Order: sequence, then C-alpha cells, then structure tokens
Amino acid sequence: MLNNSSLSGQAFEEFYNRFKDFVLILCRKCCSAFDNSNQLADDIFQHTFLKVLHKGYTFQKREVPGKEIYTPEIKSWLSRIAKNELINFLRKNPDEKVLMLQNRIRSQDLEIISHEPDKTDQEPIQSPSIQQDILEKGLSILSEEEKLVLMTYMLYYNRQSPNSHLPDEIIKTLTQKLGVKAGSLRQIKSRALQKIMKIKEQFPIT
Amino acid sequence: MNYNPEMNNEKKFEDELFNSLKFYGYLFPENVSQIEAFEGLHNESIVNAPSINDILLLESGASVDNSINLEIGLAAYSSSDDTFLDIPEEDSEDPEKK
Repeated sequence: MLNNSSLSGQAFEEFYNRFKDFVLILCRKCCSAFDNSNQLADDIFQHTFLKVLHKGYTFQKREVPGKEIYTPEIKSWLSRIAKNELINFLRKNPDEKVLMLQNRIRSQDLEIISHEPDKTDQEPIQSPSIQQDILEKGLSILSEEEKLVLMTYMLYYNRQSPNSHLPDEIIKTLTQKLGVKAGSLRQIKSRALQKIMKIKEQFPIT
Repeated sequence: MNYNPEMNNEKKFEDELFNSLKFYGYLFPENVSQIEAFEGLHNESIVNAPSINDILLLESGASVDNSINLEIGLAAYSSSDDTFLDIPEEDSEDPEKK
C-alpha cells in the first residue's frame, strides 16, 4: 500500500506525463458514443486527473513477490476512476448533456475556453432499457473472447449505421489475437448478444 | 426480401445493449486483462493531451508552482525501477513565502 506521504508537484507531473496519453485515448474511445464526444472525453480526462491529484493516496496495490512494475494495475485504476467520473456526470445530467466545466481546456489546441452550453447541439441521454444488475450478470457469463469482441463492437457501434463494420486495423488485430477468421467475429458477437438476451428474458423488468 | 425476426430482435437488442453499456460506463475496461486488450487494439500514439499546468489551472486558476503541497503518494510509483521520487525539502514549503 502506498504511503500517504506528501510529494511534490514534480512527482504528480511525472505521474501525469506517464499516463496522460493512455487516459486521453481511453476517454476518447469510451466516450465516442456520446454526442460532443471529444469535449466530453476531455472533461472526463481532466476530472480523472483531478481525482488522482486529491485521492491518489487511496491507491492500493496487491503486493506480488518479485513484481516490480505495476503499470497495468495503475492503468486499470485510472480507467475505473474515469468510468466513475462519466457515471457521475450522467447522474448529474440525466436529461441533457451540459459539459462539466465552466472553464475548460480543449486539448486539441490547448485553447482555454469559457463554455456556455449550446442547447442546439445537445440531445437527451436515453435511459437504459437493461437494468444494471442484469447487464452485469449478462456480461459475467461471457467468455473473455466473447466479451472482448462484443465490447469492441460496442466501442465502434453507430446508431445511425448499426450494420457498419469494424475498422480494418481493429479486425486485423482482433483476428490475430483470437486466432479466428474475420467472418467469425460477427458470429462471436451474435453469440454474446444471445447469451445476454437470455439473461434479460429470465429477469423481466419489475 | 428476406425477413429474419430473430436477427431483427438481435439488432434491436444490440442497440439497447449499446445504450445501457454507454449509460453505465461499461465501455471502460476495468481490469488488467481488459486494459491489455484495450491497449492492444488502440495503441495510438498521437494525441494532444493538455499539459499539467492546464489541468491545475482549471481547478484553481493557479499554476503548477502553487500546487507544491500536494497530498499524493502515487506519482513516481510506477517508474520502471519502482522507486519514489525524493521530495526536496524546499518543496514542502509554500513557494510564495520564499
């Protein structure tokens, strides 16, 4: 477990520089389903590091004898913080998307802007039709392969074009990683969807 | 025209699932294996992340120089030799008092 010691801004800066690219890519990809996705991703990114700044001492690691590098664990921790920041944002803004920060940075050009919500480019966030516990149950019964394929398709899902394909480079990486042909990916996704559908049917909305 | 009601249901469910995953934040990878898979798929290297000063500026309007008394035990932890940075003694003082 880390000590709650007082370290310098230099230490936080080093941590920030080490993980900022990962967190920004993560936020960009995982927020891509939302309108104004880049702005939302940038806000989630910034709030994630502000949370680390104030709560970093709460990070705990499980000691593994002989293990010296815990970068994947830290990335996993950062991803969970980012996820919680997104959920908090959605809780606070259930009906419409209002960006979180009044004064915010647009990371693409580092221009500091004062944001005034533009109602014309915001759409209501649709309430989910699958309850969270059912969703978790459904995801938990998927194999690692099914989960990876399904979640990858979901990252690239486009409601306006639901039959669209994954990008070629993603298909190539996935097929190499899983040792399957490209045509099998849709079958794996379909199998995963069917499994979760069955779980949902077993637990109808009360 | 072929009509496959099962496929149609699946498409509809896929849309429901997408919306639910999005709403509950499940598109974020949560554990080490998911992180590794995510990075394997999205190993992009060109991004324009803001500087540390920009992040701190957002919160307080202060520059990084004024944030020297941070309570954080994490920063140097992930370095390849797994060591912490030493904290210069002067860093624990308020730079504005100097």
